[in-house]
Amino acid sequence: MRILIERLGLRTTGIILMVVAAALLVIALLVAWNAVARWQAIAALSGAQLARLGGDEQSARRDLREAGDDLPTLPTTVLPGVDLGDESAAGRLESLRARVPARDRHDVDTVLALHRALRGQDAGVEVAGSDATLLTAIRLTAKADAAPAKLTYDADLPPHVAILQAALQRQFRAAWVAGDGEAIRRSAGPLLLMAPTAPDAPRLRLILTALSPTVDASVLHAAGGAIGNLDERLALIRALLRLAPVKTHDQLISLIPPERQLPEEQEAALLGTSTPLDQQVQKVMASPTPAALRALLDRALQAGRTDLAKQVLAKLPADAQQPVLVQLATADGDLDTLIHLLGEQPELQLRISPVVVAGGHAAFHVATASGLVPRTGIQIRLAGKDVDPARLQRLASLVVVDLGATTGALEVRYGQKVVASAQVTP
Amino acid sequence: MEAFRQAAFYAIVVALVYGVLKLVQYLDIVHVPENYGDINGLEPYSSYRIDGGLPFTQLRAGDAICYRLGPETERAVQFGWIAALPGDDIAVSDGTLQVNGTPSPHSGKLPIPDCAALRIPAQHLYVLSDGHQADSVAHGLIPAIAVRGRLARLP
Repeated sequence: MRILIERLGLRTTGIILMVVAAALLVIALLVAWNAVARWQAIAALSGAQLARLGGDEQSARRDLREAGDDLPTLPTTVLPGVDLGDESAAGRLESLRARVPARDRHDVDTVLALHRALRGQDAGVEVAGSDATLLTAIRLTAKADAAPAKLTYDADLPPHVAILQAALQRQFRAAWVAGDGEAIRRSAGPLLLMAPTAPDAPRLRLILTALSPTVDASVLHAAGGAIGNLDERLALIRALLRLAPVKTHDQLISLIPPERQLPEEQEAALLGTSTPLDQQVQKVMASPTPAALRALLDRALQAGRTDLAKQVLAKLPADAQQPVLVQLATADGDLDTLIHLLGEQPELQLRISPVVVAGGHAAFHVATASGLVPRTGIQIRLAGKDVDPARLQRLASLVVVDLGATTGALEVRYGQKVVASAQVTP
Repeated sequence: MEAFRQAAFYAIVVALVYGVLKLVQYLDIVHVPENYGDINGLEPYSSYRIDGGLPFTQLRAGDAICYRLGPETERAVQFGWIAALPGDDIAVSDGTLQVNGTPSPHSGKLPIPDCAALRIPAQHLYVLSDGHQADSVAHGLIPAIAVRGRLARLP
């Protein structure tokens, strides 16, 4: 100091010291201002994340904007506010990349790579770990007809949350377009776990419930009821009917209000696959439709429930009854009715095998030419008397008569006509 | 002698600063909000000391933590156990949370349909509580910034 005063004089030294002091003060103020701005930006960023977690998206966006304004060159504050759906964001990111120190460049590169991958472009920058594989998956699903694929991860470097979410959303979209139920479950589940309060969460919940191998009806109803918009709910249920297991269809259709059901849905609702046949008949009889009646008749006949089929038949229009009556008479082995309905036909002629006597029994086969085994109208007489039904056994077309000690003529009659006779001795 | 005096002076200053920092950490406590009922046995208005200065990377699965769901108000303070850390795979099968293929001890029966595996992303946690009213089952992944600190234990 003394040297300075001796060389420059007291006045000049004083001025120099004042200038230096002023410069130091300015630097100190700048450092302090930067520290305050950094603190404000970090606080705004923290507030934004907490607001988003609390479901206040509006406040979160406002805080993110504030954080970016406070420190426009710090990636930590700028990147969360970048709108990746905006085409111009690439320019902003590249500009930011040029301004940030090398140690912060990796974060900008990751977001820039995500922005490009969402548009099907190569990353163009170096990204490591799980982010790299996920960005490749995102890029491959940029096309509308891309096939879904299983996501892979790096064991040591977990993915960035924004990249993981984008990859899962892209996989879900690809799986939905492809109608691949397994791939839909593979991406919808993680998306629901990540953000159960997101606007799409109720739809994801219904999708996962409907596509589950085991579906609880009450859980499915709760999941369906959580989608408030009826049109949205109906569209999703109808889409799920193409993807869900058949056993779930009647439960899904039951989520559609009856007044909004299409004819085929009404029919399916009445004929729920998991409902017992008797209950199906009751439901259909309460509000019969021609399609449901015909479908139910087929089911009753296939199940051998001619009693139920006759109930349903009564509700059919007269012109639709004739073919069903033939089916019913055939199922019952009612030859009389068949001849009445179809007239005398060669196929309905009775054929009887020769009577065989052995061990105190007489046996023969009886059936029509078409193979129908008549269960009514056949009368068997022995020695001029009707045979007690307790002494008759029928096994399909085989008729076995217990002769006891009776000897005489065995006659087989159909109506008034004797179609076979034989002299038998026990 | 003078050098020894100076060294002793600086040692005392360092010890005092360290002591003050430790005291501040010791005084870092949270209060259980009114009407809280998400952890069985955690009484409203009771206080718990938290290890607020613990780095995120030192948290472990099973740790009891305090975190915030929303702006910094006492009402937003929540408690839970860490079920999964970054890099873990979580899935739901028959209402049970599976972490890396093993049922989570705090899972219970979750109201979530079967979900395929999710890899927990960086700087995030999956947290469980008893009532699942304010944990990850209800709110999803908890970001590191929401964690206020680790508790010695929860009831």
